[in-house]
Amino acid sequence: MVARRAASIADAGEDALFTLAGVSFRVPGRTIIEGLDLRLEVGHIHGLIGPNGSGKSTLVKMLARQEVPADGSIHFRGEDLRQEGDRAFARRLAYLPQFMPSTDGMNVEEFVSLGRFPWHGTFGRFTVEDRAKVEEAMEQTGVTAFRLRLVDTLSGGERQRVWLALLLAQDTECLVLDEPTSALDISHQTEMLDLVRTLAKKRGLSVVVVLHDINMAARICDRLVAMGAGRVVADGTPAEIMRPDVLQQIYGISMGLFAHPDSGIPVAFVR
Amino acid sequence: MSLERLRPTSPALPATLLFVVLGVLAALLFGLQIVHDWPSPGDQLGGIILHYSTLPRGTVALLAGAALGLAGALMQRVLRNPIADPSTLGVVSGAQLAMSGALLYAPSLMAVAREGVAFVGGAFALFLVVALSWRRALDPITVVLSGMLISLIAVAFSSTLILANGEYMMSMFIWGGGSLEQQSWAPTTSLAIRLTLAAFVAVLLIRPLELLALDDANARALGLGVTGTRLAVLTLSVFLAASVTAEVGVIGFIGLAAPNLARMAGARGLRQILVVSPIAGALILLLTDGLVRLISLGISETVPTGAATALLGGPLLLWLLPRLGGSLRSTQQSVALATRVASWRLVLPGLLLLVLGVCALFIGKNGEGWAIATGQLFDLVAPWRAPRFIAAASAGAMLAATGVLMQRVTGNAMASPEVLGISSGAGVGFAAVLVFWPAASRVAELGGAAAGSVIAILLVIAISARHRFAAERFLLSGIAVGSLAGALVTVVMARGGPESMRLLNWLSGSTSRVAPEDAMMALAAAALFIAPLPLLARWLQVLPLGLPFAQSVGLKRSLAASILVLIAALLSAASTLFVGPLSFVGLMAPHMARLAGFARPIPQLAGAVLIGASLMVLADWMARTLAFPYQLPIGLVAAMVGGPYLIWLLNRR
Repeated sequence: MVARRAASIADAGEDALFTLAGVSFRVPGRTIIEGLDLRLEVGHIHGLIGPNGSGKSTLVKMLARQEVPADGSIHFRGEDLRQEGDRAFARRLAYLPQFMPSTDGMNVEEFVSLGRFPWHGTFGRFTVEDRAKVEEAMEQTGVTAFRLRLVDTLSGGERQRVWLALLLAQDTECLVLDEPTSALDISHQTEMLDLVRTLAKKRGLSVVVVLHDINMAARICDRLVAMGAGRVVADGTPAEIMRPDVLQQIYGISMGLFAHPDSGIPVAFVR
Repeated sequence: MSLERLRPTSPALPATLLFVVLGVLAALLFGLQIVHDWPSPGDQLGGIILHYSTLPRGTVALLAGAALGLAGALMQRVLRNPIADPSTLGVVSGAQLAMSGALLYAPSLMAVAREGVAFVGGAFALFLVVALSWRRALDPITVVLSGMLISLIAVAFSSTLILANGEYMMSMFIWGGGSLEQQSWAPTTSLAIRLTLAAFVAVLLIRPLELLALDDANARALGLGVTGTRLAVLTLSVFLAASVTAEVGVIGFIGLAAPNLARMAGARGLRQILVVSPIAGALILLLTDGLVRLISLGISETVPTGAATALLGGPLLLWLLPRLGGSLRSTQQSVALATRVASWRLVLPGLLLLVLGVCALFIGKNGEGWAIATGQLFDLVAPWRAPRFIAAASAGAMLAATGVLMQRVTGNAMASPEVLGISSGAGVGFAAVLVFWPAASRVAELGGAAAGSVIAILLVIAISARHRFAAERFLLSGIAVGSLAGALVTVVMARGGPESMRLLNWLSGSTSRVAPEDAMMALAAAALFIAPLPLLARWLQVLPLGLPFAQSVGLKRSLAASILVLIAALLSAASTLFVGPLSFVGLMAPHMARLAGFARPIPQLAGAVLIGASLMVLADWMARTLAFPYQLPIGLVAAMVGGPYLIWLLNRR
């Protein structure tokens, strides 16, 4: 039964962004994800939500090929992730890790230019097109003004935008973001996520983003996938997820909702 | 599920069996030794040997082992650190340094207060270690890291003292290797008295020690003077370790092995561990000594027992590392960078090298003092000075390039060929060539050294890969591999063949006898291995950002890192042949380049190469003039500058 369903999902994978069939992930002594089937769509912004330890981060790491599943298969635009070359894959999918490394004395422009590595490689020339993509990415994220500043000296919000610029310079069709706002205050969270949404729609990108704040997620995502104990516990549009019974199921605490006074979008709160 | 079910099953029974086997083996070997030395009737000399050499050797092994085991158990308890012991904390090397110094400059002091001198040296080393890791709340890995670095530096200073005072000090090296050879019962008596005294004090301290199992705040809340207790217990362990070092020399890692063996054998709770550890230590040392004597039966005394325990120590430390608790720190650590400067400023280190080069070529000392060589005199000295200058500059450049590569590949600001054991690995390769192929050419020696350093770095990488290259563990594996390699070199050196002197020379790093061909080879190696690096600048840019980042921009990190590490190993091997394993230039030069504002890969590499070459030329010049007419080893002069820098660096993190 499960196998048949998995097979049918894989068959239908041609125009899906991701199809996962029977994906499992284990660390010694613990199974983090077990037999996960999931299909994500092209052009959507997918929000991955769920409590700590539910396997969200592991899932996006597998999508971005940072981790390899123990069992099962992941297809990206119909192609098996295991078959893809490193640079070819990096030209199609850009990944923002949860913990960002120190940037080792680089200025903003140099750092964003690293996003062109998948295109020019180790010895290739840094072409006019590369330059143009970097400029465009810095322009769209509003970091052009401090292009010569050292990345390590920027504020948290600015640094996050610089990382987004690097991802955009990679010129991929898909962004995978692991908690892009965890270190930001509320105004910068909003700014960052609105920027992600605007740019994704403008550039026609598909996005998978891990978010902790359910209200933020509902605000910017087209679809929410809720994880719990390594399985999908709820999956649907924000309107379908933002219901007291579903939220109770996801977070295990009683939650209520009210309509946002200005926009009418449902807002969740803990009872 | 209850916690009980997650707990591993008790290993007590097989481990106790191991204990018994260990004891029986040790006793058997010692018995064998007694039988071997048993005098035929009427053989007076044989009787004397049995009574004044063989028997006291056994008792000294037991007592020294017990003392070290007790010292290790106390240190591990009081620092809450399962890899603390007198050797990992630098106490033994500190004691050794103090004794070498006293022997040379205050021999009368050594005659009356040998143990006192050792105690002062050991205590000072431990004080430095504790001071360095105080800010990190005595985090186990930081403590041991500081300890082993202090230890490396102290060993470098000891070797300098020994070498600067001529080759008749070779016996200091044997002593440094920890020989248990005995000629009387005096050391036995002395150790027995000290051990008894220490055991008595330990019993008095048992209650405060039990409270220290809690964390400091809780212990304090229960009314314990935590700092005072720590101080008292550490003093006691330094007393034990210094006593052993004073009597029989450097015997490493027994204090590490014994308490861990005791725990494996099922000793639980402080009282049991304090009782079982000395027994374990005594058995281990007796067994090791028995094995050493078994191997050297027939041949003359070859391997010092201390060198043999050091051989065990490296692997033991590596085995314990993954079992260590403690937080996994972020792998990213870099020296803060305030400003960046334009690349044309590279002219400055270039000028520095030029000026130093001119000084090295023209200025020297003669019988009357400083002298500038001109005209005929210059023609006379140039053939001697020029090769030294070229070899020193090339070696410095190569070490600096290695440092840049290692720091960028690992994203770890403390990485360098000296710290990661690559240089010591080169020494083992070099030693192997000397032993097995005495007539080898310089190129073959270079090949051997390169193979050794590649193996060393592969070992370090394999060990730390499991921890995703967490910075501290990475360094510690490097130091452990380095100490294993160092012990191997000591063993070869203690054989006393013609290769010993060459190894000793190598260990200290000597440019004094560099021939023009050697200098040309160093220069060629530097050019050959450094030249391709600018082509790989993009790798050097991406790799410090870590594995996830490299993957997400599609760089095959394993391939890139392997190639760079291979180049680093070659560079390190080539430079180590000329300046020895311990110069720390590979650590210093990349930092200085960064601090000078060269941040991007190529400027940093160029800056580091120029600075490294300058440092080494300076060191060579100092080596030539400081103790004129004697020549100091260049590597050790550089280490005397580099060591304090390293300590400063460790402290500011």
